[in-house]
Amino acid sequence: MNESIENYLRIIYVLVEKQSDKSSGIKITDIAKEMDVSKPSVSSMIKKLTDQKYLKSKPYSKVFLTSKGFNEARKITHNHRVIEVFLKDVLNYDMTKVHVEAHRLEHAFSDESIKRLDDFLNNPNLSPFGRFIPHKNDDVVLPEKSTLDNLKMGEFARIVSAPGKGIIRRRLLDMGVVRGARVVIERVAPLGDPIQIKVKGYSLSLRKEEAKKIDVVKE
Amino acid sequence: MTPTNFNIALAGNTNCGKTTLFNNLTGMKQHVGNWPGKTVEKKEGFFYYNNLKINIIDLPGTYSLTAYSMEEIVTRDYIVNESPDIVINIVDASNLERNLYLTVQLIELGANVILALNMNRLANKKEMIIDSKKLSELLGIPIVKIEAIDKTGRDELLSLVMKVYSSKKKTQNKIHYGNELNSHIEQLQRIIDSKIKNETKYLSKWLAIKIIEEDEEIINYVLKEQNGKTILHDASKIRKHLMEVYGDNVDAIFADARYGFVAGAVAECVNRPKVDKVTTTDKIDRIVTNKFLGIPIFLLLMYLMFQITFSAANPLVGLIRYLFGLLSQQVTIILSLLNSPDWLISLFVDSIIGGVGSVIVFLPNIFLLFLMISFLEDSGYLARAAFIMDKLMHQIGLHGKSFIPLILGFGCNVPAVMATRTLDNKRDRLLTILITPFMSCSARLPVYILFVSAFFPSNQGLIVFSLYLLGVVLAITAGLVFKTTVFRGTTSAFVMELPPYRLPTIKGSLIHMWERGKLFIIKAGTIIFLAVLVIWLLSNLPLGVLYASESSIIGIIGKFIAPIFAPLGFGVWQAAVALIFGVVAKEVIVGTFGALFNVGTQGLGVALTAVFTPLSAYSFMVFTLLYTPCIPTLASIKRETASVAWMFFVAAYLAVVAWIISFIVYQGGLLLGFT
Repeated sequence: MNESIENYLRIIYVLVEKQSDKSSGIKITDIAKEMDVSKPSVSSMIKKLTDQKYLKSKPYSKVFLTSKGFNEARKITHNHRVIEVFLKDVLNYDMTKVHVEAHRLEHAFSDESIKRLDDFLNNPNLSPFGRFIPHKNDDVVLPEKSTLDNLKMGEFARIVSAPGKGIIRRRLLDMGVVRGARVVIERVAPLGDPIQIKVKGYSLSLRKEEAKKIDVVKE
Repeated sequence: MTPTNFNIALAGNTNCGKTTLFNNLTGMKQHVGNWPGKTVEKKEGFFYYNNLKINIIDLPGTYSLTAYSMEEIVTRDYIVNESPDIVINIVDASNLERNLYLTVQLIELGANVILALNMNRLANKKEMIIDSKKLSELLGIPIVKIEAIDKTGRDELLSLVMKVYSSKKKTQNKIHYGNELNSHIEQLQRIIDSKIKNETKYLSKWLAIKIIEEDEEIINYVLKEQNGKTILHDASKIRKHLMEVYGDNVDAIFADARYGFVAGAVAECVNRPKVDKVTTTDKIDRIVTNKFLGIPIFLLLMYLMFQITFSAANPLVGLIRYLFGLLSQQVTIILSLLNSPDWLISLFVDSIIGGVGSVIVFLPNIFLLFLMISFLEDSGYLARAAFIMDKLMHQIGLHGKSFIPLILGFGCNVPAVMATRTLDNKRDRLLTILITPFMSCSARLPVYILFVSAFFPSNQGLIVFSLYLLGVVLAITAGLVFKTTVFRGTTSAFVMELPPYRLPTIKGSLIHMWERGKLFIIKAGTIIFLAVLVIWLLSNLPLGVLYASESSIIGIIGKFIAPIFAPLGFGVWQAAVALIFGVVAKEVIVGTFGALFNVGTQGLGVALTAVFTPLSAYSFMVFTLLYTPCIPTLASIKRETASVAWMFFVAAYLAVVAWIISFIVYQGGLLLGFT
């Protein structure tokens, strides 16, 4: 597929991820800003994408991904982020260079190579930037952003980010609730609160109201 | 070359065996106090090794070295200001990653670190195999395997300490934060090196890291420097850049980097099974924090603790009372034989012996309590108790750990206030202390018994129960009020480790008990003694007056204050004097009435009916329940809050609350037609 088409689809996917209401469309101005390209260029590209049935759009208004477009965008995003993981964790690239280098490589990897890379990395769920890596059968762009309190007992997940600010956040960070840390709920107190989780190899208890603020991604 | 003053500091997480090692090295040659101006415990001691006297300090248990908690600030200040020759970092081998997080920060700080790997047996049970040699290379510090509870590895540790000291080699800092972060740290470090000209006790690299991390203490320190503002300005540019790149705040970036480094080292040096083995702790927890069994087990243990602390202590308390009674008798006899004047006899017997006795009589309870608490803490159960009770406590604005002090308050408020030490957060501790006095302590019971037998003979149990209940209800109300007013907006987190269960050492528990009990004797003891002396003086002046009679100073004071109590139904001077004496110790109230009405216990009930009505009796009991706690309690409050202001606040607010509630009870009762 055309490189620039892939790039656009990926950017649109990112914009959809950022939306809280996934059913409202994407503005052309947002695409232009994100890609750092002029509106007219974007418009002509949008027309091309619509013709090829990746997008639905009306002139001068918002665009929507079709299911064909969504599948393609998801695949490209997946590939891009898996390569980012590879670059950071295996090749030790700096965070500043990871994105650009992934950008270079993503168009060159075949499906087979991506699959092998995925296997090699153990099917990661999180990019180095904390973004979810979508897989083939994921129905929604982002799974319900899961929080620590939503996990069932025994369900493993990885931390996306520690909550808010101040002492509680600091304490949680110091206790190992950092991005990428593997957690699981071990038990719940008899009265229903607090919960006991396992993190960094030991047991930590915290209240559900705190756990609610910790974003996780299920394994 | 033998040093003249050799100093070691012990640092590490809580629950890693640090204090066990400290106790085993120093035995009784230790001293517990507070860090100046803070409510953090300071433990120092010394021991001998190869004829060398080694001073050792047990730094507070910490997970990190930020500026967010007193314990962390005290720890890092000590290391930077006092430059201990060696810092032994005790690490729990079965919990490596989180423990090493602190290790990394100790190395950053520039301490001369030796890592003592403890609890290897527990790690073995988890089938973890640790290559300590490799770990030592990766971290850049020497490592010794020990078991703190016995002598395993002790000699190696101590000889390594001496070796490291005499080699004069400084700890190398091999910590790698990732290229991005590393380069920025070095960049800021160079700026600091060039801009801060005076000798600073801090390492410039550590300053760079802390500044980027926005460490409040260090930022304030740098602002005082001449080029401080420029350094901070450069730092904020770096910070902004990092936040853009990583998409997160600097604190998370650094935590991530440190944990990343640690994880890398652990991955290389530790072999662990694919799936975590089910541990004994796990098995116990399945029962102890079980949905159905958890609370009953907890209540049972609380009941046991209560029984042991108070009932088991009773024989001892009785013995002490008896001995002091004996002592009083003997001294009276001796002094009479010497023809001493009455006032001198009274001074010795009533005041001095009486005063000291009233302190010593607390000791069995205090010591037993500390023994119980240290047992609960060291075994790991205290954390589970807090875990179980937190939901209930949180609704009143308290912490799960607040439950224990409140329960203890039913026995005696003094150990209850002291038990608030187990709360890490100052706010939680303060709030708990503020409502603990509402728990009707056992010293108030004699007062209730006296009045209910005289005024409510057919409903004794019910009336007494209503008083206890009133106390609890007011405690909850007060908690809620404080939560929304004085403490509004300050919530504390419940982020608490649940350590593995361990069998506490008898030696450790006994040392704990002795050290804390000793403190009570010295601090509270002095105040109680002085108070008794003052009361004695006021009761015996002007000279020649009958002890605590209407014409003594205390009687005059009583008469003066009495009108305040009129709206509450007991505006008589005897009640006022009894209540004043009750501030020294609540159980004194009954004895005071006896002395003032000049009757023995038999006739006291009758004597009281002349002055009280059933309604005013109930009002008086309510007042006794609620008003200013006894001086030993106040002394403990001062100690645990390190503030005289809070002590006075408690004394005052409880007196006010008592007056208001008694007023409502009495006047309301009158309105409803009771007498």
